Amino acid sequence: MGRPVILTGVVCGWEASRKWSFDFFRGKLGDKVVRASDRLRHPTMSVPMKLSSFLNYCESTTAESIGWSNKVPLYVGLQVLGAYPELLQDFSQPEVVDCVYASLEGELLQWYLEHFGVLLIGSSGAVTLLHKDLFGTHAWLAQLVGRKRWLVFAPNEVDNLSDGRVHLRAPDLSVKENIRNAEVHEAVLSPGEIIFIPKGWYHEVMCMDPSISLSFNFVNQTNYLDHILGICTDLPLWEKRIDSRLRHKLSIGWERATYPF
Amino acid sequence: MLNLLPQTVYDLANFRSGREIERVGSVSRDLFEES
Repeated sequence: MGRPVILTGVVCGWEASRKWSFDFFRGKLGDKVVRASDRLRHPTMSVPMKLSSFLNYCESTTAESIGWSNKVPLYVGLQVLGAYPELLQDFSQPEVVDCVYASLEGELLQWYLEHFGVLLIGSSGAVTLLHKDLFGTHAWLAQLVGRKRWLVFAPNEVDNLSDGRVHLRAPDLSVKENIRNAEVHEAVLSPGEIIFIPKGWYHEVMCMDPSISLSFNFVNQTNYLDHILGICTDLPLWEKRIDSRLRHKLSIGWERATYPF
Repeated sequence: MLNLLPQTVYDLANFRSGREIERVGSVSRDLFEES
Protein backbone atom coordinates (compact mmCIF):
# COMPACT_ATOMS: atom_id res chain seq x y z
CA MET A 1 0.00 0.00 0.00
CA GLY A 2 3.01 2.30 0.45
CA ARG A 3 2.60 5.66 2.14
CA PRO A 4 2.44 9.32 1.11
CA VAL A 5 5.56 11.41 1.63
CA ILE A 6 6.69 14.94 0.90
CA LEU A 7 9.98 15.39 -0.92
CA THR A 8 11.90 18.55 -0.16
CA GLY A 9 14.89 20.15 -1.82
CA VAL A 10 14.21 19.14 -5.44
CA VAL A 11 11.92 21.80 -6.88
CA CYS A 12 14.33 24.58 -5.86
CA GLY A 13 16.59 23.38 -8.68
CA TRP A 14 13.85 23.73 -11.28
CA GLU A 15 13.58 26.75 -13.53
CA ALA A 16 9.82 26.47 -12.97
CA SER A 17 10.22 27.36 -9.30
CA ARG A 18 11.61 30.75 -10.30
CA LYS A 19 9.69 31.34 -13.52
CA TRP A 20 6.18 29.89 -13.24
CA SER A 21 3.93 32.51 -11.72
CA PHE A 22 0.55 34.13 -12.37
CA ASP A 23 2.32 36.80 -14.43
CA PHE A 24 4.29 34.20 -16.39
CA PHE A 25 1.17 32.30 -17.46
CA ARG A 26 -0.73 35.53 -18.11
CA GLY A 27 1.98 36.42 -20.60
CA LYS A 28 2.43 32.98 -22.14
CA LEU A 29 -1.10 31.55 -22.25
CA GLY A 30 -3.28 34.52 -21.34
CA ASP A 31 -5.34 34.43 -24.58
CA LYS A 32 -6.01 30.71 -24.30
CA VAL A 33 -9.67 29.95 -23.53
CA VAL A 34 -9.94 27.57 -20.58
CA ARG A 35 -12.87 25.98 -18.78
CA ALA A 36 -13.02 27.02 -15.14
CA SER A 37 -15.04 24.73 -12.84
CA ASP A 38 -16.15 24.62 -9.26
CA ARG A 39 -14.69 21.12 -9.10
CA LEU A 40 -12.04 19.43 -11.19
CA ARG A 41 -14.01 16.19 -10.95
CA HIS A 42 -17.75 16.04 -11.54
CA PRO A 43 -18.20 19.84 -11.82
CA THR A 44 -21.60 21.32 -11.12
CA MET A 45 -20.65 24.61 -12.78
CA SER A 46 -18.20 25.23 -15.59
CA VAL A 47 -17.52 28.44 -17.53
CA PRO A 48 -15.22 29.21 -20.46
CA MET A 49 -12.99 32.22 -20.07
CA LYS A 50 -9.61 33.53 -21.14
CA LEU A 51 -6.84 32.27 -18.91
CA SER A 52 -5.79 35.86 -18.24
CA SER A 53 -9.27 36.58 -16.82
CA PHE A 54 -9.15 33.43 -14.73
CA LEU A 55 -5.73 34.33 -13.32
CA ASN A 56 -7.06 37.76 -12.37
CA TYR A 57 -10.03 36.03 -10.72
CA CYS A 58 -7.71 33.75 -8.74
CA GLU A 59 -5.70 36.63 -7.38
CA SER A 60 -8.78 38.57 -6.31
CA THR A 61 -11.12 35.83 -5.01
CA THR A 62 -11.23 33.99 -1.72
CA ALA A 63 -13.66 31.46 -0.30
CA GLU A 64 -14.87 34.07 2.15
CA SER A 65 -15.45 36.67 -0.56
CA ILE A 66 -17.93 34.47 -2.45
CA GLY A 67 -19.44 32.83 0.64
CA TRP A 68 -18.66 29.29 1.77
CA SER A 69 -22.22 28.17 2.25
CA ASN A 70 -23.12 27.20 -1.28
CA LYS A 71 -20.22 28.01 -3.58
CA VAL A 72 -16.59 27.15 -3.93
CA PRO A 73 -14.02 29.11 -5.93
CA LEU A 74 -13.20 28.08 -9.48
CA TYR A 75 -10.38 25.80 -10.50
CA VAL A 76 -8.62 25.05 -13.78
CA GLY A 77 -6.66 21.97 -14.83
CA LEU A 78 -4.52 22.71 -17.90
CA GLN A 79 -3.21 19.84 -19.99
CA VAL A 80 -0.80 21.99 -21.98
CA LEU A 81 2.52 20.18 -21.72
CA GLY A 82 2.01 18.45 -25.07
CA ALA A 83 1.20 21.67 -26.90
CA TYR A 84 3.88 23.77 -25.19
CA PRO A 85 6.88 21.40 -24.94
CA GLU A 86 9.17 24.28 -24.01
CA LEU A 87 7.62 24.07 -20.53
CA LEU A 88 9.26 20.65 -20.18
CA GLN A 89 12.63 22.40 -19.99
CA ASP A 90 11.60 24.06 -16.73
CA PHE A 91 11.31 20.92 -14.59
CA SER A 92 12.35 17.27 -14.42
CA GLN A 93 10.35 14.41 -12.98
CA PRO A 94 11.97 12.91 -9.86
CA GLU A 95 14.16 9.94 -10.79
CA VAL A 96 12.19 7.50 -8.65
CA VAL A 97 9.10 8.06 -10.83
CA ASP A 98 10.63 6.07 -13.73
CA CYS A 99 7.31 6.15 -15.62
CA VAL A 100 6.93 3.52 -18.34
CA TYR A 101 5.26 6.07 -20.62
CA ALA A 102 8.08 8.62 -20.37
CA SER A 103 10.22 6.70 -22.87
CA LEU A 104 7.62 7.13 -25.61
CA GLU A 105 8.55 9.30 -28.57
CA GLY A 106 6.88 11.67 -31.01
CA GLU A 107 3.08 11.70 -31.02
CA LEU A 108 2.93 8.97 -28.38
CA LEU A 109 5.03 11.08 -26.01
CA GLN A 110 2.74 14.03 -26.71
CA TRP A 111 -0.27 11.84 -25.81
CA TYR A 112 1.37 10.86 -22.54
CA LEU A 113 2.15 14.47 -21.64
CA GLU A 114 -1.38 15.62 -22.46
CA HIS A 115 -3.12 12.89 -20.49
CA PHE A 116 -0.84 12.29 -17.51
CA GLY A 117 0.49 15.77 -16.72
CA VAL A 118 -1.63 18.69 -15.56
CA LEU A 119 -1.03 22.25 -14.48
CA LEU A 120 -3.45 23.08 -11.66
CA ILE A 121 -4.35 26.71 -11.01
CA GLY A 122 -6.84 27.83 -8.38
CA SER A 123 -7.74 30.59 -6.01
CA SER A 124 -7.69 30.45 -2.24
CA GLY A 125 -10.37 27.99 -1.13
CA ALA A 126 -10.55 26.02 -4.39
CA VAL A 127 -11.02 22.34 -3.59
CA THR A 128 -10.37 19.00 -5.22
CA LEU A 129 -12.96 16.76 -3.59
CA LEU A 130 -12.12 13.42 -2.05
CA HIS A 131 -11.06 10.89 -4.68
CA LYS A 132 -8.45 8.33 -5.59
CA ASP A 133 -6.62 8.61 -8.88
CA LEU A 134 -7.76 6.49 -11.81
CA PHE A 135 -6.20 3.50 -13.52
CA GLY A 136 -4.08 2.33 -10.58
CA THR A 137 -1.61 5.18 -11.03
CA HIS A 138 0.67 6.76 -8.45
CA ALA A 139 0.89 10.56 -8.50
CA TRP A 140 3.26 13.35 -7.64
CA LEU A 141 2.38 17.02 -7.29
CA ALA A 142 4.89 19.86 -7.09
CA GLN A 143 3.70 23.03 -5.36
CA LEU A 144 5.04 26.11 -7.14
CA VAL A 145 2.93 29.04 -5.91
CA GLY A 146 0.84 29.24 -2.72
CA ARG A 147 0.08 26.49 -0.20
CA LYS A 148 -2.25 23.50 -0.34
CA ARG A 149 -3.87 21.62 2.54
CA TRP A 150 -3.88 17.82 2.03
CA LEU A 151 -6.07 15.25 3.76
CA VAL A 152 -5.02 11.75 2.71
CA PHE A 153 -6.49 8.35 3.63
CA ALA A 154 -5.17 4.83 3.12
CA PRO A 155 -7.00 2.49 0.73
CA ASN A 156 -8.17 0.33 3.63
CA GLU A 157 -10.27 3.27 4.92
CA VAL A 158 -12.63 2.83 1.99
CA ASP A 159 -15.57 1.78 4.16
CA ASN A 160 -15.17 4.75 6.51
CA LEU A 161 -15.11 7.06 3.50
CA SER A 162 -18.22 5.62 1.84
CA ASP A 163 -16.04 4.40 -1.04
CA GLY A 164 -14.71 7.91 -1.52
CA ARG A 165 -18.14 9.45 -2.08
CA VAL A 166 -18.18 11.44 1.17
CA HIS A 167 -17.86 15.23 0.86
CA LEU A 168 -15.42 16.39 3.53
CA ARG A 169 -16.47 20.02 3.19
CA ALA A 170 -20.09 19.29 3.93
CA PRO A 171 -20.37 15.71 5.20
CA ASP A 172 -23.69 13.97 5.44
CA LEU A 173 -24.30 13.77 9.16
CA SER A 174 -25.53 10.21 8.78
CA VAL A 175 -22.07 9.08 7.70
CA LYS A 176 -20.06 11.49 9.83
CA GLU A 177 -19.40 8.89 12.50
CA ASN A 178 -17.83 6.64 9.90
CA ILE A 179 -15.61 9.49 8.77
CA ARG A 180 -14.50 10.01 12.36
CA ASN A 181 -13.25 6.43 12.37
CA ALA A 182 -10.85 7.10 9.54
CA GLU A 183 -7.19 7.80 10.17
CA VAL A 184 -6.15 10.93 8.32
CA HIS A 185 -2.67 11.78 7.00
CA GLU A 186 -2.36 15.54 6.84
CA ALA A 187 0.03 18.16 5.51
CA VAL A 188 0.25 21.72 4.34
CA LEU A 189 2.29 21.62 1.14
CA SER A 190 4.40 24.73 0.61
CA PRO A 191 6.06 26.08 -2.54
CA GLY A 192 9.13 24.02 -3.39
CA GLU A 193 7.74 20.74 -2.04
CA ILE A 194 6.55 17.61 -3.89
CA ILE A 195 3.97 15.23 -2.45
CA PHE A 196 3.84 11.59 -3.56
CA ILE A 197 0.49 9.78 -3.37
CA PRO A 198 0.65 6.00 -3.90
CA LYS A 199 -2.03 4.21 -5.92
CA GLY A 200 -5.37 3.77 -4.24
CA TRP A 201 -4.91 6.45 -1.53
CA TYR A 202 -7.86 8.84 -1.20
CA HIS A 203 -7.13 12.54 -0.98
CA GLU A 204 -8.95 15.88 -0.72
CA VAL A 205 -6.96 19.02 -1.38
CA MET A 206 -7.71 22.68 -0.75
CA CYS A 207 -5.82 25.76 -1.93
CA MET A 208 -4.92 27.98 1.02
CA ASP A 209 -3.65 30.75 -1.26
CA PRO A 210 -3.84 31.51 -4.98
CA SER A 211 -2.08 28.37 -6.16
CA ILE A 212 -0.09 26.91 -9.06
CA SER A 213 0.87 23.23 -9.00
CA LEU A 214 2.24 20.74 -11.50
CA SER A 215 1.10 17.14 -11.20
CA PHE A 216 1.77 13.88 -13.02
CA ASN A 217 0.25 10.44 -12.66
CA PHE A 218 2.74 7.67 -13.24
CA VAL A 219 3.19 3.95 -13.75
CA ASN A 220 6.31 1.95 -13.03
CA GLN A 221 7.18 -1.60 -12.03
CA THR A 222 5.54 -1.17 -8.63
CA ASN A 223 2.04 -0.60 -10.02
CA TYR A 224 2.09 -1.87 -13.58
CA LEU A 225 -0.36 -4.71 -12.89
CA ASP A 226 -2.67 -2.37 -10.94
CA HIS A 227 -2.57 -0.03 -13.94
CA ILE A 228 -3.63 -2.77 -16.36
CA LEU A 229 -6.40 -3.88 -14.02
CA GLY A 230 -7.43 -0.23 -13.53
CA ILE A 231 -7.74 0.23 -17.30
CA CYS A 232 -9.93 -2.87 -17.50
CA THR A 233 -12.09 -1.61 -14.64
CA ASP A 234 -12.59 1.84 -16.13
CA LEU A 235 -12.32 0.97 -19.81
CA PRO A 236 -14.89 3.56 -21.03
CA LEU A 237 -12.90 6.33 -19.33
CA TRP A 238 -9.61 4.99 -20.67
CA GLU A 239 -11.03 4.85 -24.19
CA LYS A 240 -11.71 8.60 -23.96
CA ARG A 241 -7.96 9.08 -23.61
CA ILE A 242 -7.28 7.25 -26.86
CA ASP A 243 -8.01 10.03 -29.32
CA SER A 244 -8.29 9.59 -33.09
CA ARG A 245 -4.69 10.67 -33.63
CA LEU A 246 -3.41 7.93 -31.35
CA ARG A 247 -5.75 5.31 -32.80
CA HIS A 248 -4.31 6.08 -36.23
CA LYS A 249 -0.76 5.89 -34.92
CA LEU A 250 -1.39 2.53 -33.29
CA SER A 251 -3.50 1.26 -36.22
CA ILE A 252 -6.39 0.62 -33.84
CA GLY A 253 -9.70 0.00 -35.59
CA TRP A 254 -12.21 -0.05 -32.78
CA GLU A 255 -15.15 -0.18 -35.14
CA ARG A 256 -13.95 -3.46 -36.61
CA ALA A 257 -13.26 -5.11 -33.29
CA THR A 258 -14.84 -8.51 -32.89
CA TYR A 259 -14.92 -10.78 -29.91
CA PRO A 260 -14.58 -14.56 -30.16
CA PHE A 261 -16.90 -15.17 -27.20
CA MET B 1 -4.67 23.91 13.81
CA LEU B 2 -5.99 25.65 10.75
CA ASN B 3 -9.54 26.82 11.00
CA LEU B 4 -10.42 27.87 7.49
CA LEU B 5 -13.58 25.79 7.26
CA PRO B 6 -15.11 25.65 10.70
CA GLN B 7 -18.28 23.88 9.61
CA THR B 8 -16.44 20.94 8.10
CA VAL B 9 -14.46 17.93 9.23
CA TYR B 10 -11.18 19.50 8.10
CA ASP B 11 -10.35 19.94 11.76
CA LEU B 12 -8.27 16.88 12.52
CA ALA B 13 -9.84 16.61 15.95
CA ASN B 14 -12.82 15.15 14.09
CA PHE B 15 -10.87 12.05 13.16
CA ARG B 16 -10.06 8.97 15.24
CA SER B 17 -6.40 9.55 14.67
CA GLY B 18 -4.15 11.54 12.44
CA ARG B 19 -0.56 11.96 11.54
CA GLU B 20 1.57 14.47 9.72
CA ILE B 21 2.80 13.33 6.33
CA GLU B 22 6.54 12.77 6.62
CA ARG B 23 8.99 15.09 4.88
CA VAL B 24 12.01 13.38 3.35
CA GLY B 25 15.10 14.44 1.43
CA SER B 26 14.89 11.55 -1.00
CA VAL B 27 12.31 8.99 -2.14
CA SER B 28 12.90 5.32 -2.85
CA ARG B 29 10.68 3.01 -4.83
CA ASP B 30 9.65 0.98 -1.77
CA LEU B 31 7.44 3.90 -0.72
CA PHE B 32 5.03 2.77 -3.43
CA GLU B 33 5.18 -0.95 -2.74
CA GLU B 34 2.94 -3.12 -0.63
CA SER B 35 3.97 -3.27 3.00
